[in-house]
Amino acid sequence: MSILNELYEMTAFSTLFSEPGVTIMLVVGGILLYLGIGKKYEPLLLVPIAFGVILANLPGGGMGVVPAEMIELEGGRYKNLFEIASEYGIMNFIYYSLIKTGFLPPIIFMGVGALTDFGPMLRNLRLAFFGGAAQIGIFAVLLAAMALGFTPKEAASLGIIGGADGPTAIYTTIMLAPHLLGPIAIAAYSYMALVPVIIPLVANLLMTKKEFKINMRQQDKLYPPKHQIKNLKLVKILFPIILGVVTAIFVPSSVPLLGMLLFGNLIKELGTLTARLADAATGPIMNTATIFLGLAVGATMTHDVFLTGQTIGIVVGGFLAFAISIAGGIVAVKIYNIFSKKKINPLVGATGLSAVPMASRVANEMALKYDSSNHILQYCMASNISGVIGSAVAAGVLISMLQ
Amino acid sequence: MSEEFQLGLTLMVVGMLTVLVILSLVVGLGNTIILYVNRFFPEGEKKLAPAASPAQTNPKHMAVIAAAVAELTGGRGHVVKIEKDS
Repeated sequence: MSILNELYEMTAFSTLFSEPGVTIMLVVGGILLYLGIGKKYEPLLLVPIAFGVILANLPGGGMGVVPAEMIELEGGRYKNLFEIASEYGIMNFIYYSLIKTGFLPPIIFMGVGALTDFGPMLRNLRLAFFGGAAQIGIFAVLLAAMALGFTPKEAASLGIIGGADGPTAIYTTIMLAPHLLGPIAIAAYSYMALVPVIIPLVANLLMTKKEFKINMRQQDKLYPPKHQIKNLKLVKILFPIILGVVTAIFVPSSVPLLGMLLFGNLIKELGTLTARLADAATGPIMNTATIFLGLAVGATMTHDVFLTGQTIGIVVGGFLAFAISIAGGIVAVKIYNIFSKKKINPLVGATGLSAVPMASRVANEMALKYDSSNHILQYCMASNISGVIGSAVAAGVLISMLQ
Repeated sequence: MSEEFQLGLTLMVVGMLTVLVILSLVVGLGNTIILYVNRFFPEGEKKLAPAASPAQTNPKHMAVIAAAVAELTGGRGHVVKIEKDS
């Protein structure tokens, strides 16, 4: 009997029965895996995150990320990476070297930049303003979260979900409230996957049939743009260089994200000159970064950290931030339409939150439902891409004011 | 009004204003670059030389490329045109 008892203690069964939270987290990991594999919700991120959750919660596996207090030494110093790896395992090594240092989100942003085409935005520059209006959800939820008892840093990390930009949300949370990294990353990526549900929900609530039918190309014919771009290739090369420098002067704290985004874009626009760099940024580097980011973020979600009231607050608050951001963009276009002869389809405003390019595709499909000739994808991409810049700037402001 | 609420409001006002200022810069800089390029470097990309038709391609090269495409695509792909990437 004592042998059986020892065997029971030696295996993970004893922990599974004594700590129900572990089982719950394994189920949560299973559900996230199902959403990633079965429902195809952002599988590139959700699958590593879900597997990270499972690995972190397997009793005795030593793959869970430990709180920062455990690696702190006296005098504000930290254990070195060798000590972290030998005491707490490889997942903590990955987390504290690649995530906690804020290294991976800008690296992913470089890949995003190399995949982004600023062309649609440059052709429709005035639509960029709607990417700004759609950041209102970030700050509205920040206020609400503070009223509900979240600290300012936690509230800012929660609000940034409304930027609909995974790397930005993760970067801001690492800087301001790293203990909430797991649930915030999950909420951000889950809602980004649910963009095809959330945008129609908000748009149907706020828009009239007449507005859905505003045909952007007809408006362009009625009121043509003042000037055409004669040498788009050169404009696309100059734009990231000049914008990067100017933005850095105004909001220095947004440079790690925006600077890398614009660098990635530059190496793409230089064409064959730097094609190998662009290939590396969008391929091996971005994919490797995504694997480590996903696994390590998942590994922060141990049962003692995740199963709290705050997680529910983050899930609800994240949804509100998303919905308010979409509504902000729509309302901004409606106000613009009151004063302008040239009307804009408010769906263009709805894509002002990032989630590139899914938000634009969803808005385009909605417009086509009402008018099969109304292709608004290029117009939506303009506000969509400016939304990426807007959310990175908002993150920079929050970090610089709260850190 | 509590201090925390005041901080939240300040963040909202400063944050939204900064975002709008930066996006105004994006619009302003974009327009300036477009005007500058239109004025001083208006020529677009040089027109590419017309692609060589399969007839102008060395038949040996053509056969090798066609065989490689057939191998890679399991016989489903076929060569439509061959262009030199400059």
